[in-house]
Formats: sequence, C-alpha cells, structure tokens
Amino acid sequence: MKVYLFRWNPRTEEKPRYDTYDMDLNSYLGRREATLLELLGLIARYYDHSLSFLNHSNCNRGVCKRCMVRLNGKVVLACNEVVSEGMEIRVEPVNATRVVRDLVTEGL
Amino acid sequence: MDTCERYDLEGDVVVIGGSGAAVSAALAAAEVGAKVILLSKGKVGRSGNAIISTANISMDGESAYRMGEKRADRRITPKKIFEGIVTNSFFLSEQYHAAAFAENCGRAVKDFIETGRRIGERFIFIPPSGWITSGRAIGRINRYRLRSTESVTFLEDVMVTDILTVRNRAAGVLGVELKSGRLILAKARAVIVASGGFQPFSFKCTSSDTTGDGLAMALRAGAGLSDMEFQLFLPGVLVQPLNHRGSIFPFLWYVGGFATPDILDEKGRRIIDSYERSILEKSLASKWFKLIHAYYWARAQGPLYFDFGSVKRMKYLVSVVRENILLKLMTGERWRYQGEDFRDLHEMVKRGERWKVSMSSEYSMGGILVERNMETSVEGLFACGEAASGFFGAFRGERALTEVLIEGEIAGREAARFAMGSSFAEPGREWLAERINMIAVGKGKEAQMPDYFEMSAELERLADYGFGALRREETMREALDGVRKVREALDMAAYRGVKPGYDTLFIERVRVENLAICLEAGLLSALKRRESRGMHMRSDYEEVDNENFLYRSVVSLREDGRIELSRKKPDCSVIEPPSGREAGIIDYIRRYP
Ligand SMILES: Cc1cc2nc3c(=O)[nH]c(=O)nc-3n(C[C@H](O)[C@H](O)[C@H](O)COP(=O)(O)OP(=O)(O)OC[C@H]3O[C@@H](n4cnc5c(N)ncnc54)[C@H](O)[C@@H]3O)c2cc1C
Ligand code: FES
Repeated sequence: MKVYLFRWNPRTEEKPRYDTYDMDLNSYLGRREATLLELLGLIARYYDHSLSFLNHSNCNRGVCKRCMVRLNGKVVLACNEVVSEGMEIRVEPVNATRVVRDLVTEGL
Repeated sequence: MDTCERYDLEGDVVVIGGSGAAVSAALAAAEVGAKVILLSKGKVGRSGNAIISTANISMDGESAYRMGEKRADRRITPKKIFEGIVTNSFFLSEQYHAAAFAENCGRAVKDFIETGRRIGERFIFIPPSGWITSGRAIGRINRYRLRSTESVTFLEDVMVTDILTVRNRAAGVLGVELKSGRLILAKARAVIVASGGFQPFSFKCTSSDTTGDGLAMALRAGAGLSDMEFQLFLPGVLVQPLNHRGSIFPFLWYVGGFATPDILDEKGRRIIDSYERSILEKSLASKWFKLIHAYYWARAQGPLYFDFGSVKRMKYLVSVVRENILLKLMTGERWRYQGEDFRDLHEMVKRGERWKVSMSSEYSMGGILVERNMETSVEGLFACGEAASGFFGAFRGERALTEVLIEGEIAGREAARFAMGSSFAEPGREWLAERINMIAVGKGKEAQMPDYFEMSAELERLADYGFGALRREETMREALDGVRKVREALDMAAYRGVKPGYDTLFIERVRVENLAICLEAGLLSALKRRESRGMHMRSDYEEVDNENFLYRSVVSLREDGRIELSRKKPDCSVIEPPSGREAGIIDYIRRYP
C-alpha cells in the first residue's frame, strides 16, 4: 500500500512536507490489514524512528480519543480504523495549525 | 542546538500516576494538609487501564443493602470477603492487607459511587453486591474528584523516569513533559508510586501506559518488587476482526449470561468437553472464573473461536436485545461498548462466522513490595494501586478498582504524615546534575544507538515465549537469558538526550528499559517457583506445593545491576494456610469453592 504522511517539526523546519512510504503489510504482519495505529507503529519501527504520533498513553479502544488523526481528510481514531493492502492513504494531523510534531498536536 | 528547558517544582508529596490510585492518594494526602504535586503520563481520567476496564466494582452485602439495593446479599460480609481474598490468593496475600480491603471496601466504594452519581454517571447493581458502569465513567469520576480540590497541583503528559533518593530516602522525581520535551524536577519529602502495572506480551487488552515504569523506577531506587510471576489472564479477548483486536467484548458477553457460544479450537473441538464437570458448572458465578477458564484455555492448542452455530437464532436475537438494554443502562448508548460499535460482530454471527478469541493479561498481581502502611523499604517512598503488591497474591479474587481506592487512601494519608513530620532530603548537586544529564544529554554517540524498536519487539517475543499462561522450565530459561541479553545491551547502549517536541524514540527507550526489568523480575520469580499456584501455571510442575513454595518471591537490584531473588513469608495471622500438596490448580479450587 502507499502512504502519504504529513511530517513537520515546527521548531526546526519552516514548512511541512509529505513523506511517501510504499509498504507491504503482509511482510511485516503476516496479514493484509492493519489498524492505522499499527501502521504508524510500523513506519516508526521500520522506516523512521523520528516519526511522532501519540503513543505513550493509548487505550486502543476508542475511549481516550488521543489517537485522532485525519485519514484522507476525514477525522478518525487511528486505533479503530482498518487500512489494507492496495489502499492509497494520506495521514495528517487533526489540526495543522497546532502541530507539536508530525501527527501530534496541542489539544489532543 | 535544539535543547530542552527545565521546570522545577517543590511539594510535600509527589504522586506518580493519573488514574484511580493516584487520585485517591493525592486527595488523601491533601486532606492531611500536604502540598501535593501529581504527575501523570497520560491525561488524568483518560489514561491507564481504568478507562478500558469492564468497570465492575463491589463491596460487602450489608453496605450495598444500606445503599438501597434490596437485592444485595447480606451474607457477603467483610469476613467473607477477607476469606475469599486469602483463599483466592493461594495464601500469598498479606492478611493485614486483605483485612484492610474487607473493612474499607464498603465506605470507599459508596463514596466513589455517590460522587459519580452526583455528576450523572450510571451504576447498575449486579447481585450479590457489585455494580457495573463504564471505564469512561470511572475516568470522568476520577478527573472530577481531582479537580474538586485546589490543594493538588497536577501536570499531564509528564512521564516520570526517575525517583530521586538520598541515603535510602525519597527526595523527589525527575520526568519529561512529553509534548514540550521540558524536563521536570519535582522535589518532595515523600513520593507515591501509583502508575499501574506492567504488560509485556505482544497481544494486549491494556493501555499503552502499562509499561511498568513505576515498578522499574522503584526497584532502581532501592525498593523490592514482589509476586512478579503472577499475571492475571483474561479469557475472551478478540483477536479478529482487526478493528476490535484487544477488546474484551466476548468476555463481557460470556459472563453477562447471554446466548452461550461453543468455544472451539482450530480443529473444531469443543474445549468445554475438556473441563471437569463439577468445576464448569460453578465457574460462571464464582470468583474463580478467570482462573478456571485460563487453566483450560492455556492447554488448548492455537487460537479459539466463539461459535454460535448451535445457538437458536431467536435466542441469539433476544440476547442481542438484552445486551443492548444493559449497554444503554451502563452508558446511555446502544450498540457501542467502550469506544466501539459492535454491530459488525452480530453481522458475523448472522453470516455463520466465528469470533476469534484468545487470552490477554489484564492485571499484574505483582508490583512494589510495601508494608502495611504502603511504604516501601525506601524511607518516604510509598506505592499503591496496581503498581503495589501484596493484596492478591497468586490470583486476584476481588476488584482492582476497589483496591486502588483503598490503597490510594492509605498511601496518601501515610505519605503526607511522613512528609509533614520530616525535612527535605537534598540530593547532592553533582549527583543530581548527572541524573539530569542522562535524560537531557544522553550517553555515547547518537550514531551508535541500538534499535530500541527492535528491542521492544524482542521483549514481547520473549514474554510470549516464556512468560505466557502455561509455563515450563526450558522456555522460561531461554526467555530469561534473552531478556538478560537485552538488559546487558541496554546497559552498554548509547542513547541521545530527549528532544523538544514529542520524542517517540525517547518514549520507546524508556518503555524498553522498564519492561525489560519487570520481565526479568517476573521470569526469575517464575523459574524458581517449581510448582503451579494461581495464575502461575506450569506444565512441568502441576502440583500446588505448600510445603516448599508458600512464600512470596521478592526481587531487588544489586549494586552490579543484576536482579536478585529472595523469599518472604506472607502474614498468615488470621487464617492458617494449608500444608502438604494439592495435585493441581483445579484440585485447589475444588477445596476452596
Ligand atoms: C481490560 C481490562 C478490564 C478490567 N476490568 C476490571 C473490572 O471490571 N474491575 C476491576 O476492579 N478492575 C478491572 N481491571 C483492572 C483495573 O482497571 C486496574 O487494575 C486499575 O485501573 C488500576 O488502577 P491504577 O490507578 O493503579 O492504574 P491505571 O488505571 O492503570 O493508571 C495508571 C496511571 O499511571 C500513569 N502512569 C504510568 N506510567 C507513568 C509514568 N512513568 N509517569 C507518570 N504517570 C504514569 C498512567 O498515565 C495512568 O494515569 C481491568 C483491566 C483491564 C485491562
Ligand atoms: S487510542 Fe484511545 S481512542 Fe484510540
């Protein structure tokens, strides 16, 4: 699958960019689907350790609402959202004006 | 260079955590007159395991009856609760802790429910003497409780990383505010660890805060950890469908008494057929439920399935209606449990498909070793809630949500009394500067940093392999060797200082370091326990051996960084423990129905 990911460290970079990842979920997970939260974990683990997404206090059950991001423009909870092979997705922070870093924003 | 700022605070008591135990401790300390600082890794009331719990809470029957619940069973006396905790613990519970639970549960839970009802939360009475609400409600009540006082200063999204000590005396904590990268130095006369348990496995039904931070910090500060071999496995956690992976919905369905599915293994065999009849019939209504099922599930091969093929369609539909009535009463919403919509699961049943389920660790019986007053062997360092140990021994027979209220209250009160009667222990300047440098500047060359994500995955693999629900010597030993290698590598490893802004790598490193310590402590304790007891089940030693193993395992940290094991006899001053041996876990359960 193809992932376009919003990246920005407002302290050191003037403006955001989109990184692109071509991924084969099956080769990492042995299945063709992942939750969006799992996918972000895979990108951090295998592609870029510096990717910031909120992962220090996640309920994984749609309760805490702290994993909220935009998937193809729509606000979703990353822990409840399933993505799969063959998809092309764009992942962005909920509120691009309040970015702490990458997908982490103030107010989450 | 992009470096972090520092923020210094000072109080009488610092509390680490932001859920039930932490809030109860902070309030109790404030009541005694202490100036309290609470630091929470997540948001208060929106973090920890409390918010995703089944949210069952209970008390004694008489107290429930007095709250107006006419169906309450008044035969559930404090004495009975006490005996239940002790026998469920396989006699490893400290009987003075069990007594504190039994005596205080009525009052503590009543206060909690009344506070909840004042802000509009729902509690549904479940006979004989319990209530069910939602995890979300538990979180909201805790947040409300904390906000109702002005004497507690609290900071959120602060991950505490170190407990500061001076000559075996607590002096404060160090941590990092995760969104800013700002270093937090909180000096205090007493410190309370209330940061929850640890969960080292790959398949989780717990929150991602559950990395044993408080346990590892306390151990590094000089306290002991105990009962680390006992993890509470919950049978009935969804593996698939993926959007619900980790949900306890099947467990709730099963214990809720809705249309009972067949539980099948991969080959289509009903695993209930392997259960001993007399045990099965009693299991639903008994405090042994999780242990009985874990015992048989652990012995089944591969994943399991909830299959509704033999349930009449009408019966299933009636169950769905009843379930939705319960959900509506619990949360005000239909179809949704916790944050998820479960209509797709019912659709699966309609299509003749099964729910794939497994077990997952819900709670750590193990934790920081504390005295009766919740103080550790480090002066001024206290622990409570799931982070502490001693109440439930080898198997938790009572509610953790009740436990955290009671322990929090004791720890808060005692820590405040200690703090008010003592002076600050001032850490040496150089020593403190060094500790701060380790967080802010790091160690070694950044280019030589190991892959912390890889290490994290390796720990999960090792936990799955050697620390699961059914254990044996060789796999535990291999896993222990593996964890020790990870810990040695961590000791040598370079890492960089925390970066301003949300630093994923820093969080991952701390997680690996803390989980590695907890897992090593757990495996070491498990390996030396050559018997089965409670949730420590071994295929090579099936017997419950009271002659040789009626003790609590205690681990402490040696100067050289190695973890060392010793034994402690639990307090048995009220009920005499059994002697001799029991052929197995199930035989023990039969003896103490
Ligand atoms: C699926 C599931 C179902 C359950 N069902 C029930 C039930 O029905 N009844 C029941 O009684 N119990 C149940 N439990 C157990 C119960 O939820 C927990 O034992 C209880 O919530 C523990 O409370 P606590 O305050 O000790 O920790 P938690 O609720 O786990 O909270 C830990 C807190 O510490 C914070 N923290 C962690 N690390 C740090 C750090 N380094 N620095 C600062 N803060 C930190 C976290 O952010 C969080 O705020 C269940 C648990 C699970 C997982
Ligand atoms: S992680 Fe809590 S809502 Fe997604």
